[in-house]
Amino acid sequence: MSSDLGWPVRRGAERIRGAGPNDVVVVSGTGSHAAHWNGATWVALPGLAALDPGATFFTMGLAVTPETVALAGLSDATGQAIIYRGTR
Amino acid sequence: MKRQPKLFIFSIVFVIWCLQSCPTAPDSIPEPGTVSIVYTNAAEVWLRVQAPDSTAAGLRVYRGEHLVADYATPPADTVVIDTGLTPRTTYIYSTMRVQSGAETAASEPVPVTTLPTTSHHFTWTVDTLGTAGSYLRDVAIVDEDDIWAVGNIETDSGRYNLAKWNGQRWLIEQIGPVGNNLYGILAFTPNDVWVTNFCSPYHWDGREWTYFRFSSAGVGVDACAGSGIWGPNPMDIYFAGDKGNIVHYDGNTFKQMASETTDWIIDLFGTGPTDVWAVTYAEYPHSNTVRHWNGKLDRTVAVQIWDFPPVRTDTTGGTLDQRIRDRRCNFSWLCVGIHLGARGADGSAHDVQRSRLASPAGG
Repeated sequence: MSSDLGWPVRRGAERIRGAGPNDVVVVSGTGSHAAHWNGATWVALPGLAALDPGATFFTMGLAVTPETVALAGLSDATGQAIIYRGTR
Repeated sequence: MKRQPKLFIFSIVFVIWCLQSCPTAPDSIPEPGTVSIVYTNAAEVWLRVQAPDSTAAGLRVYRGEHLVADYATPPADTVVIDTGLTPRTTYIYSTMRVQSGAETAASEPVPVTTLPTTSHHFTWTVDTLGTAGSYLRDVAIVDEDDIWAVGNIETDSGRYNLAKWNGQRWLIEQIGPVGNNLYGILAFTPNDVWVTNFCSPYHWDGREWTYFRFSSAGVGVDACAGSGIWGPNPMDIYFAGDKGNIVHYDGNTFKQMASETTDWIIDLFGTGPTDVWAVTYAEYPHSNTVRHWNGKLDRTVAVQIWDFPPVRTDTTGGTLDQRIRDRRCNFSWLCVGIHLGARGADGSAHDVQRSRLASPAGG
């Protein structure tokens, strides 16, 4: 089973973490692309990319708990540190 | 004397008839197979199926009355993957031996309940820290109102390497001297947090940070091991870093582990004390390797090696348990990580594939 999520990837910066077999998040190195595995299917998380229309976010850290997801990195555009917090 | 020829002829006829028609002793009943659960998610169940006398009879694997796998000559020990299942549903698995077309020797039924699915829906908030030159390398979540991140945060008032979300705002501080670059963070509770610089860790106990310098003059471990940090509990923590260094902390002492590699260990993650994964990087030649340590071995085992491209799978040795673990790609995330790493070199669009490292026998 595969899902083509169609995002560009910068080598060496991808991160993947999970809170369990049915709760896994993978993020691209750049461009704020993320996908979630719910135990049955992968779904791209469009809300994240929508926050970064210029695709300037570079992910370096990822953490996942059942309630929260956090992506940490930097903005290629401004050089500032960025954190995305996702809550369910 | 006249009766002897008749008796002889009768005996011959009887023997010939008997060879063709006499009832024979039934074949011995084969040992039942066994089935056990290796892994499950919301839509799949991975079964370990064993046939103790694999040449004696066939073997069928059932989910309820649904035939999942049918082996005329079953492998002695294999993994069967049952797919297309419904989340949060209990299924009963069993095996039957097959002899002369008839089913016999049923195994003990094994119930398994698939996991529920989790929500895809997140509400996102983006926070910006520092000025140009700032970045964050790693992040850990205690809960949604207690998030820690490490990196480099440049501000008008100075440089910092730690940011903490308290539910209201981000608080920044400096651990160690200015210029102390932090690479990793692992948080168990608000009062039990580890961070690492490139070579050594700091620990927060709720009152203060303590530096554990990995050197012969420090904690007695002469290893640079701060790139990656992971542990299932505070008494079982792994630190990894340059030149293949891995240091284990048991809650009291640090001990260097053999790692069977001199590559830079970039990242660590795991699902439990016997299931630790590492991603390593070698510059010459340019390659990444995913390594697995199952806690039973005294060394790590490389399970997948790739160049850019193509993907090259390393055939693993080790025990069957090890191979099963490799195949199931524990909790799926490593499989995806492997695939991403394998395809990410050219920056092109790619798949996310919850792939198997190897095609399971019978799968």
